Amino acid sequence: MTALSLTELHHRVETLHGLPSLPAILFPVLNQLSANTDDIDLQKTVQLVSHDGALSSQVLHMANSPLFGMRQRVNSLRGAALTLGVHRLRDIVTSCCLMQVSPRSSEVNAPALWEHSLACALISRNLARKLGYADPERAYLAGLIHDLGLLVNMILIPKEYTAAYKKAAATHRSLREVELEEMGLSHEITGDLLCTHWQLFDYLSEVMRRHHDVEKATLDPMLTALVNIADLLCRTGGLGYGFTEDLVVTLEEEPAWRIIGEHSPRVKYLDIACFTMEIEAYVNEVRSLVSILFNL
Amino acid sequence: MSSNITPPPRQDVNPVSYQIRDLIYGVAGIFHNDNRLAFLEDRCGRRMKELSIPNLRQYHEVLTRSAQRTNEMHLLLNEITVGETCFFRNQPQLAALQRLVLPSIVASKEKLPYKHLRIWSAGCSTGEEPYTMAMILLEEAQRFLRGFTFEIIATDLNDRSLQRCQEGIYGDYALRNVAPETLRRYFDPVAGTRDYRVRDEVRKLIKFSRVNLLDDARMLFIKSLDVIFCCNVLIYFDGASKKRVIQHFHNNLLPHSYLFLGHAESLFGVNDDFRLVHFPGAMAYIKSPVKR
Repeated sequence: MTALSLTELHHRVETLHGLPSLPAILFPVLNQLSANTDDIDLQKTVQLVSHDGALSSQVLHMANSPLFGMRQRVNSLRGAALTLGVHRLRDIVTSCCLMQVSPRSSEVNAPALWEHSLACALISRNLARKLGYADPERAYLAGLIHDLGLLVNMILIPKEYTAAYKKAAATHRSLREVELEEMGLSHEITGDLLCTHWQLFDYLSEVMRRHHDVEKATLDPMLTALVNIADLLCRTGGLGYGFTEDLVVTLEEEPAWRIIGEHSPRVKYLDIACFTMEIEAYVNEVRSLVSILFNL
Repeated sequence: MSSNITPPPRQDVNPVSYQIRDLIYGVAGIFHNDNRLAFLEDRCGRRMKELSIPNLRQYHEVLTRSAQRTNEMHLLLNEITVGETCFFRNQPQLAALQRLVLPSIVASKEKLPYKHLRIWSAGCSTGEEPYTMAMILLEEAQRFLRGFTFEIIATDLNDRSLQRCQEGIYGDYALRNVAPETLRRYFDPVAGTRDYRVRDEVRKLIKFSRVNLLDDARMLFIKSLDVIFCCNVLIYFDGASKKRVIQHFHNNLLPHSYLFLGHAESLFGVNDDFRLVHFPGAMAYIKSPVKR
């Protein structure tokens, strides 16, 4: 590695010095939309979002994407909120807020990270529904944030991370494997630190920390396992990190699949090949949506 | 067999179509459901025109009672099994074969004294798929396949398609995905046309033959395979025939060998003795040991 000493690198990561903050609007909106359904004031939520012009525009674009199941085009935030409902609006606002943190100019293909994260969120939710996981919206959020540690690396240790990214892309290897090799730490560690810094829920922190090491998840093992499987499906399905990995995956032999099997008898009835083909329908939509959101 | 699969006849369909449909199913396992009966009637129409037969009833008699019935069934099968394909058609699937599957097979045979690779293109249509594979093998022959001998078995039900395979001559449309360098290396221009002919060094790797995938006797003899490609063929079969063909494939593959199917095809509910494998942009099935 690296001009940066390992100690210095760890220090920079641990202090998260230089990391942009989340858009101030995210937590009030999340609080609004996490209240009991009867107490939610959609009008207030719409007002909160509309204070941020860029965010409003992103939310509208996303709301009109077929990925979120909108049957007719909406032209206003209020229309989107009424048509989509509380859960979808929360997913969309969260996705847009997080995307705003991303560096716009980077050698490491930041849009690809968001294509991966958004696809992973959609697949985690879809898989959660098919397998009877109690909270599919939680699965969406977990899928969306699972790789935020990569974003931390991109921003805080750009030189070292870029070198690792380029090496992984050139050799078609797993990014995590090369991160560990080149930097001595991987994105799960930095993601976990970010979760603490942003005071996100413990179950999200667990997903960040354990999505490549699912057998160590204890709070919500099925959630971490769902995200692990969604991550693998994205990376084999053309929605990885912007390069092709030489990845060969037999899902039935993955520890995450066993964990899912222990929690959901429905797994036996899932036609994985058919599910994978459904996902393929996302690829172009996700790419075009992220491209629009990045260029707004 | 046929009486169990025939649903109540539709009013707008000639009843003889159902009889011909069941006849084809009995011979080749290819099942035309109700929304494909118009296609079947159209293809029967082509043969009827050729034979100057005025109606389906008489054509059914030719298929069942005439001295030419076996030959006529061949010709009708030729009409209904024409596949649409091209060279290097499914790039992610071929990349998985070249970059991941072949190296893993080579590694598994490292300690064998006789290094041989056997691939079957089952339902090879007009030959683009097996010729593509042959070119991939030739590309790797001086790299990780050094020291290996290899053969490709390419079979189809359609005589006319097999004849095209043997000729090995292709036009622009079939060659649209072929890189200029590959064209120069493995094809010769056909004088006076815009077509190209596959070179002999590629052709000699492939054995073409007519095989009905439901012919148990023939299927028993296609053994010791490392890879089977059977793309967009099983879509013609109903569940029972599909199960029979896939069981044959399982028997014919070596342990831990690979079965590639068409893009929208799944073995879910068909056979549990394969495991689905995901590659970048492609899927295949790996033969796992039979559970006891």
